[in-house]
Amino acid sequence: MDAYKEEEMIAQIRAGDSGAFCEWVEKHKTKAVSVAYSFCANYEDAKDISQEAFIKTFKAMKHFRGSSKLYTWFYRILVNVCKDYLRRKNRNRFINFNIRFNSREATTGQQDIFERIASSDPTPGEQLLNKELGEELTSAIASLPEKQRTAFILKNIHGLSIKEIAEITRSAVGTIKANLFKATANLQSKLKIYTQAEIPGGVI
Amino acid sequence: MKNCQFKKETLIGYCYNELAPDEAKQVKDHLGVCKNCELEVSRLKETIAFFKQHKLKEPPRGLLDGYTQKIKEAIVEGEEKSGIFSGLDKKLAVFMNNLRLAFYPRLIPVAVTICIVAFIFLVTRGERAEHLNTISQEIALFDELSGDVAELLMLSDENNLVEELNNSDRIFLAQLEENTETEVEDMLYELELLQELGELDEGGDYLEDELDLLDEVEVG
Repeated sequence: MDAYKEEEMIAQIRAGDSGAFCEWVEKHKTKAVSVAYSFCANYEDAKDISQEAFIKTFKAMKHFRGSSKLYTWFYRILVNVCKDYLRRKNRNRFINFNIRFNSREATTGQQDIFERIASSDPTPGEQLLNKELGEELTSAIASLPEKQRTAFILKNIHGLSIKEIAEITRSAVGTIKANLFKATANLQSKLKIYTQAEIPGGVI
Repeated sequence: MKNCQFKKETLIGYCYNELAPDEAKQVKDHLGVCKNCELEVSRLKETIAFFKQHKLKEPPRGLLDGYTQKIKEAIVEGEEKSGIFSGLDKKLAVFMNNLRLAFYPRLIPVAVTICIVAFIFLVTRGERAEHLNTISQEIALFDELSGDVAELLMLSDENNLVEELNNSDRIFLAQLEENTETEVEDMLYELELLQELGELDEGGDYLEDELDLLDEVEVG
């Protein structure tokens, strides 16, 4: 979609055109669910959260001034809804989030949010190792403090730029860089037995 | 790394290729001579690369079925309760919104200009009134002086100038003394010429009277 059409669509949405908004939702829904899933680790919850964020976005469109891109603005709402969800669900989000990811349920793989990009035909041994790596990575990321986790997820899973992450989280670019550095350094120390060894069966 | 010129924020920006070309080159050059930073960057890149070997798990099949429809229903339900343009036709609403978007940025400088002009008008209003008042006073004074001059001329025509002059006329003449000095000098020169030519007549008498009057004023 070129810039003119995007602008036209945004104008229609701002005027309250729900049809135009639904068209925009269709374009972004997969990524929105994915972002929510990376925070709440459950696809059904991720679906509800992202839908709530879309509805909030439509209702708040009269406040959108166009100083940032619409999807950046939407992501800000989405991340806030995700955080609210975690606060509602867990009285102490850090402890319970870790418990959730380190629970028996997590070790069985049902709640792990990552999977290794495997080669086309992995052996059973490689499959087992990939599963273990996915679990370790999920656990390591879940153990990060909230700000580090948010910055790391938006950067490395969803490929946003540091500037976009700063806009979404309403933080300074330097703060995001510092959080990314700390998150990466923390993960490096937690995962060094995997990162420093050559892992077979994966796509490098 | 503690003593290095580059902060950790710069190194992470380098790892994610988010530095300006000049800054990236500086970091790259630095890594060639600083083993600590080189090791740090190497570890960061290893972790990032390890993470890139993974992806989020695929959503269960059918998760997004009816996804957008549910949002649409919620929006329509909300609009029925309290829609922004619920009472207007959609096309009209879009047109109005486009109109507002088109003119909104241009209205700001216009509004600012109007405010400035109004402010200047209000501030200078008092000054202008005072100025007009001064001009009126000057015009009135001019009229008064003109009347005095006319009266003086009439008196001089009747050759009763000295006798009829009152105090205010004298003051007025004193005020005009400087301005009429040049004119009087001209008159004197003319008088001398007439005397030399022996053509002094009634007009000459008139001039002599005026000169006498002037001398009296100076003495007074």
